[in-house]
Amino acid sequence: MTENALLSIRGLHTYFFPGKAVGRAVEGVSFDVGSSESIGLVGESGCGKSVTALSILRLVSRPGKIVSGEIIFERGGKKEDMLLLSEQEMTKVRGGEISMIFQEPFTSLNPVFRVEYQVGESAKLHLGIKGEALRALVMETLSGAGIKDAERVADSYPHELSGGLRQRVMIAMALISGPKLLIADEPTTALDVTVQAQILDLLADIRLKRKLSVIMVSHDLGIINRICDRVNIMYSGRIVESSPKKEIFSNPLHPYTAGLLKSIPSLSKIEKRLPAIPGNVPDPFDPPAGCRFHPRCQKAMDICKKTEPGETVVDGRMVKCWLYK
Amino acid sequence: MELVKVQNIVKHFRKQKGMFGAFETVKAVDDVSFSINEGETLGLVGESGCGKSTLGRIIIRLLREDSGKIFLNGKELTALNFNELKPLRRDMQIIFQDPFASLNPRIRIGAAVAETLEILKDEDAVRKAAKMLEMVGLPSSAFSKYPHEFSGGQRQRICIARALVSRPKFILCDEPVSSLDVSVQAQIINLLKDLKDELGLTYLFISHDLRVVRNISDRVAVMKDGKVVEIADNETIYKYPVNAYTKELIGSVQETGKEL
Repeated sequence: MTENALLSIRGLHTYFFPGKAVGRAVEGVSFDVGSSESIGLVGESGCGKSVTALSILRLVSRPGKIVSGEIIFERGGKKEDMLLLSEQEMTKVRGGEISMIFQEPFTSLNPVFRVEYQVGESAKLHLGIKGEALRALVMETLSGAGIKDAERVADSYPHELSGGLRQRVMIAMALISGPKLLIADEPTTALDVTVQAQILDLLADIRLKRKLSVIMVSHDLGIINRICDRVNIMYSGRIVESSPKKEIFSNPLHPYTAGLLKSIPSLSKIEKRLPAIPGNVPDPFDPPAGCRFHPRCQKAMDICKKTEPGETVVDGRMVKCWLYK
Repeated sequence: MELVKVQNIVKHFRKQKGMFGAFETVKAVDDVSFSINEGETLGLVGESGCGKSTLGRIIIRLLREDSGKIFLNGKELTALNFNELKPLRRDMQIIFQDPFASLNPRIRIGAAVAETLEILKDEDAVRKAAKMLEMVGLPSSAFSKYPHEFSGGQRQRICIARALVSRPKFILCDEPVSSLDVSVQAQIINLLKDLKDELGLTYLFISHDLRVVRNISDRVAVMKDGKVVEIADNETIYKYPVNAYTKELIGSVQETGKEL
């Protein structure tokens, strides 16, 4: 474990138990988030990236369950395992010390309350302020989230706002109590590209200003490239590669990472055939044996089919692949 | 040769503000004209609400226009009534965005694909449907399975087979890869390209994803607020965009290092 990590996750296992089947959504995920560091969790649907994010705040609901692991978070100078905290203590962490932004800003806002109330709620709870001071803080946070006419927006209901504004409100809501860590789960997926670019600019800006640590969950490597320092690539419930951003884009180690990068159409040139990865994303209820990627991997060897590769460190980067053993 | 011609198409919707509010007019499609040549892929890009899907649906006659004309192969579709259109419908088909919503969960794949031909009273429907499924890369066992047994990418293959089984000339692809994972998305793009070459198809490819459109189109039209603001060759529009909005759109695409 790195000494100065703000959050370190060790051997996290989150399973789903609908009926008799067991869905191994997250299996042995470990990573650190340093203070004011920005980490990307990348993967395709069903790889466990969102479940990992939800596990950190213990928001996985039934039939899902955190089976084992440690989530060590630094609170007030002490390192505490969040999986051992009482539900009461967790309430203080959620929204207070760690905040989350979700994908769909419309479903995450309550349609019957005005923006001012919803943004201020967390500050009321965690910071204990109310009245004029609270309104002033709400206005300040809304302006900080790049909302020009904060007064009007504060008095609006969510349905009166555009998608981009709603996501800015969500960001203000997440930031008002001054958290140390922000988890953003596909924060721009539901938005148009031009609005998406604005929101990413805002997040990049806020991150530096507030010295925030960020975990960005996304399937879009373009977004990750814009925001993150370090990238964790997830596949079928595991982190298969963890590298600094620059290196992952210029020299991907894991065949899955390389395939993922190649299958994105380029803007600068037209490829006659896109180098697609054959096959489909594995079903978490019925994953293949050995390395989870071997049925789709062009470099698969005999050992890949039988035994799962462990972690290998190559030039300070982590990869789980037999090619590097 | 021109296959599809769109001439001054206008479509307005009336929208009420609140429950008792005044009606306002939304200009979904506002005087749009262009043509698509035979064997060409025209990419149609724009952000949500710009009218691109409405326009697509007017072209294949799933929606009625307020004014303007649509020609397919020189024939004016907008002058025909429902019954007169029927024989022409086999020439134009649509592939939808969400392969989970566009397949009936209670109809077997083979039957779903053969249905188009049965409506057209084709006696060889079953054999043609099986052949089409093979063409889109599905195993022959798929014929008697139900949609839920397939993944998103495979379902999109089924939808493609269903659209192509009547051997149409013109296909409207309405965001066909937007709901797929990147690794699967590339497979479907390749498949659409192959089928186009093999069957001599013409596509109108609607998408909000500028990367995908860059990869598949011959020409690209950019739509904003119901109007086509720029239309040009793929290479030209991406390298030398003229319109301010086109520039903004292209500038908003996040880089992935592939551009470097």
